[in-house]
Amino acid sequence: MPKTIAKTEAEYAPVKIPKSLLEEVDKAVGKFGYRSRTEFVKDAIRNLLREYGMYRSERE
Amino acid sequence: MEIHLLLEESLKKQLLNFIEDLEEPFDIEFLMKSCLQPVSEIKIHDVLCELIEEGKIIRISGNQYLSTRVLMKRWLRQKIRSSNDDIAFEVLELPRSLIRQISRLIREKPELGYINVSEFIRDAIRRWISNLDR
Repeated sequence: MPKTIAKTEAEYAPVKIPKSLLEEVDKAVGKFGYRSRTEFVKDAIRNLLREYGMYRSERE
Repeated sequence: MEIHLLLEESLKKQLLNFIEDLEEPFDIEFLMKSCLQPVSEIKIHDVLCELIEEGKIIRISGNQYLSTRVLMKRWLRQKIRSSNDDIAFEVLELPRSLIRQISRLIREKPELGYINVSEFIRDAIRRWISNLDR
């Protein structure tokens, strides 16, 4: 198996999100200039973690 | 599991404990066979009648019974399954490092009330949308 695929599988995990909420995300992605819904969701998570004082850079 | 009859007066309590672990309907004959010491059919029948009156078991057919607790568990499982069926989901791939941070937050700050990672993510999305809209 190529190394890049193995790395991706190890670093990412699937998360189930209601379709109706993702439709809202899609609208926001276009409106606020995000590249993708994943980027938007990642930003949303980082912001809430930061709000609770629990965010650490993913590279750490 | 077997019923150990030490004292006659504890028969009802022991039977109820035993019955509440039975996922499938049972009858008097089955309960008689499950007792280590001989117990009469009439005695078991009387106890079952008392448990029915107390709402702890129900008679589901002529000689078949089921505990109310098991019945409630089944109903809840069915309810959860059907409510999940009503909601369509999609899968997003997210960095494990972020998911680990969410899990840590849920574990370390239970007072926030998040039950699982998905719930936190849904909340984060809703809050972020409303933040950006402001």
